[in-house]
Amino acid sequence: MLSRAIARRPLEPARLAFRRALLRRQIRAVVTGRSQALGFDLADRELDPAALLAEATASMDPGGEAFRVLTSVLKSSGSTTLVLDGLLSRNPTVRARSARIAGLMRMEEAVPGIASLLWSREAAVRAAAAHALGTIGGIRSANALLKAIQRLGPRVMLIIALTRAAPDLYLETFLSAGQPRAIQPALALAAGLRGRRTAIAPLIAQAGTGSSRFRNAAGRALGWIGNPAGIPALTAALAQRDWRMRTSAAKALGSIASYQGGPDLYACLTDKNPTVRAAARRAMRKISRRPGVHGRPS
Amino acid sequence: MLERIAVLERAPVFFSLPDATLRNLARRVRQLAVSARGIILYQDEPGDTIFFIESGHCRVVIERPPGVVTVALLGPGDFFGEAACVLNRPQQGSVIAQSDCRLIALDRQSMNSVVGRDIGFVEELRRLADQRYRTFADTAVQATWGMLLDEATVVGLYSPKGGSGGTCLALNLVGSLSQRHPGQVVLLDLDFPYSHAALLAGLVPSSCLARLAGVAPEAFDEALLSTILYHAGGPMILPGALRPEEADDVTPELIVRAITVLRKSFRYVVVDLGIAIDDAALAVFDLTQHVVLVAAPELSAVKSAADAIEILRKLGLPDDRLTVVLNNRTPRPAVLKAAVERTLRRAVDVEVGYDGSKPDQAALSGTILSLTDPRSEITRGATAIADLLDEKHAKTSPASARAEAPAPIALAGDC
Repeated sequence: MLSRAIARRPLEPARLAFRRALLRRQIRAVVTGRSQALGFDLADRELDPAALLAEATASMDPGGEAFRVLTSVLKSSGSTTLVLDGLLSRNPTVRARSARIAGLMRMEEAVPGIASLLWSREAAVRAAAAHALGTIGGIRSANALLKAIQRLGPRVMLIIALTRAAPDLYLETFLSAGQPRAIQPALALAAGLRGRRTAIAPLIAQAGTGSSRFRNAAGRALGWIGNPAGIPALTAALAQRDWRMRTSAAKALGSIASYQGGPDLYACLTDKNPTVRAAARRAMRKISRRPGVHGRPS
Repeated sequence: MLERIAVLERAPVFFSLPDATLRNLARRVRQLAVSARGIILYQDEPGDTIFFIESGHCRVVIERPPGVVTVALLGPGDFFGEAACVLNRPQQGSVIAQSDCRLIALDRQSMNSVVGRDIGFVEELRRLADQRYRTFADTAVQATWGMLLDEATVVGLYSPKGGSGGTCLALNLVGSLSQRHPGQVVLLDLDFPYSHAALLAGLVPSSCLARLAGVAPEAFDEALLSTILYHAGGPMILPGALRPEEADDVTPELIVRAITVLRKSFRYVVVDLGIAIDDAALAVFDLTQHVVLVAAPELSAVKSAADAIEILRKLGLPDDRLTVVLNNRTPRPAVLKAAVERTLRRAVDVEVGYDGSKPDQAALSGTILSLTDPRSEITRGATAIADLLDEKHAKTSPASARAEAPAPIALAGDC
């Protein structure tokens, strides 16, 4: 197909490469202070300016001088307005690209516009919006993502974006406050992925009263955090009736570096549920690889 | 909204922002409630939020083997977490709520969107963050050296009202501690103008700290150690002044020199501070790792104790380094313990029961009750204080220090 296209328009790939190189040079010139103008077409079918900006900003410190210069040039050359308008475009490609650029450039003023894209019909636009909110971060982005999780359910991309966007003690506050049950598992997973020790206490506290889905998520989250403070709660979860909870607790205990194994986990090796047995076996294998552990006692 | 603006206005650097900017910031902050002993930030974790204290007190601790060092006590108007937020460094220390706290949280993104273009402000905030980072690091290093060198714990015993039994308790505390750590406990008597600790212990001093003011630096250590009186039961006493007029010679510099020497030779240096908060007392407070505050259940004594606690807090003494002792000098106290606790707004750590005429008889015979009478109420009180001191100032390993870490956070807030 490509060869056919080349046959029809033989110079097209070279032209595209040339245009891409030109935009790259423009961005580099702006960053180094040699140029004060940067323009691009968000609707361009062939050239994705968002990808090139992502490439340029990948190694930049968002608090650094180069990033600041790039942001101010984008603003002065009207590209920021273009991006904000692009969020409302009917063209899904433009909306997705606008969201990605807004995220890359940490455009906090674009958060309401990006948040509305979380309900878009196109999966690419939704993913770009979630990713952008995660990158921008801050309380407004986190609130938007939480609202989306509440309405759309605990989708992986939303949870990951929430993990990245949530400021310190944001998730912990919601976990402590006992928010609607629908978002509790997502909050627990996000807190676990974030890996902060401040989340341990709310996770343990809510695990006693939450739904089985929440307790399952809380178990996995405690394992991801990997702090020994979670061991008693996880050990207790090994005795739960729900096999999913026993599985997640066994997995989590295997992830906690300071856990040296115990009779509750050994008992799971003979659990009636094969998934629990497999999880316990994997956990035991992990534990036995740690220094100072000499396998299962008789 | 107005409350949030007021909190931001009180904070260093932020107070210089224009009203409109402060309003913008106030719209973007979250309010959090943290219960006492909750850990708000953990050391070495990344951070993206500055927390302003609206009410309550927080303690910044740095875990540095062989122990945990308190580097700052923060109160309303202060903020923390700025080094992680502004300088992108991991949290330098853990922050623990010392009392129930109300905080305001400002995340990095919200701050950047409002004040990101104010380069002057951002630079000023960075400078402050860097300065505090260095100060905390220096404090932690100094304190750690003290621990590594196994230097003595300095305990200040302070009774804000005369006649509360401060000297009697100091003497018995030294007695109790010296039973556990023989030859490693000394009492520095700075209860001016009349220093009676030696007299109450049945010792006759021939020299005192005041008379060492003119001693050459190279001979100071030896002269100081030779001034210490040895009680047959184990405790050692260093009188501050033998005559009231000599009290003026005991300058803060002399006290610092003396305590520096004593810290190297003993495990506990208990300083009887008397009632005045003068330069000498302030010098001791700077050096103390623990303060024992003695109050009698009388209206004026309790009021003075409440004021003293407030002063000590302002001086930066963490709550867990303060022990409040209620010394019942009468069989029926005029003010009940519950009322005392209400007035002090904190719990009484140790209550010493009425001991009849035993303290007076012990003074007449020159004996120390904690060494001779295990059933005495004074002995029980002194033992309880010694237990607390040993518990808090035992030379801990990092592992045990971690085990003693406070309870994790319990939060409530609006986002």
